[in-house]
Amino acid sequence: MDTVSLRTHSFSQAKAHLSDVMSEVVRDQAPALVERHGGKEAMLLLDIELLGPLLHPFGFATKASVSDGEFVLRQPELGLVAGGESFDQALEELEELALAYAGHFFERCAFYRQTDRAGHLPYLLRLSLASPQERRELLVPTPEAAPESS
Amino acid sequence: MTAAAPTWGELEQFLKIDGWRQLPSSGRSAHVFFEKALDDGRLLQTHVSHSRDKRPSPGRFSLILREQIEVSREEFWKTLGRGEPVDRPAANEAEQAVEHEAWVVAVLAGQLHMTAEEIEALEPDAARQLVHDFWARPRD
Repeated sequence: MDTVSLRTHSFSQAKAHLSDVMSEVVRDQAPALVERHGGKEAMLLLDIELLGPLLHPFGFATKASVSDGEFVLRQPELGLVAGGESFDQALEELEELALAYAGHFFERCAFYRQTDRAGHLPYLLRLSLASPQERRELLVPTPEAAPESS
Repeated sequence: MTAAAPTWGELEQFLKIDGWRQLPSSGRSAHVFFEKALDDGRLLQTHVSHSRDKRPSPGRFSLILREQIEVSREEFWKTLGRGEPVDRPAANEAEQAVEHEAWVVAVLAGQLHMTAEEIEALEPDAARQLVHDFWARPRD
């Protein structure tokens, strides 16, 4: 792996100086690589604040319908379908389903990455890192044309 | 849309007949999750509610068929009746409900206090116009 432009630590160096490595990554906002087995395995350390802009393009375009009094939400990016007696109940269920899916996905990430669901990773990461309030706003984003109080 | 939907229990029965694998539960979820790997490498997923006697609405069932299970309504009931897995690739559900951007329905229900029945009767353009008209009203 070509790591010329990134700070790179061997696993043993990083383990011995983890506090310093974390300070560099978080306080200096300097991404770093940790490698072992001569670079055959590597992980990227990144300040979580830097991840937000990287995940921003992965937006959600949830659709809604009503059928026989049930509010139904379809989340096309993740292939989820939720419902409820009110819009809020449907959204609550959608949030629960998305989090459960994220749990299943991250438990078997290597497996999912070999399926057609590999592209769900950034969406699930974005949802998982959001607060509950942010998560609802992500799943049902308010358009820019909306007044601020909406 | 008037066609009947199955109970969640019948949906679960279908999944078992069709060879879906139940995913481990987190223990707190109100749902049971299933997945099925297809021969073409794709992975299908769906879930059923713990309330096995209840039914999703017909519109929700259509979406489950089309987006998650990938069979037609006819094939679904046939599979339940004969107790044998679906012969895939199968015909998919064709019925499609009127859909809105979710934020439109959020405003109609949450701020304009429209009932489900009133929203169900709206076409997407009319629904969106109601929201924009509401936003354009002078604020107190």
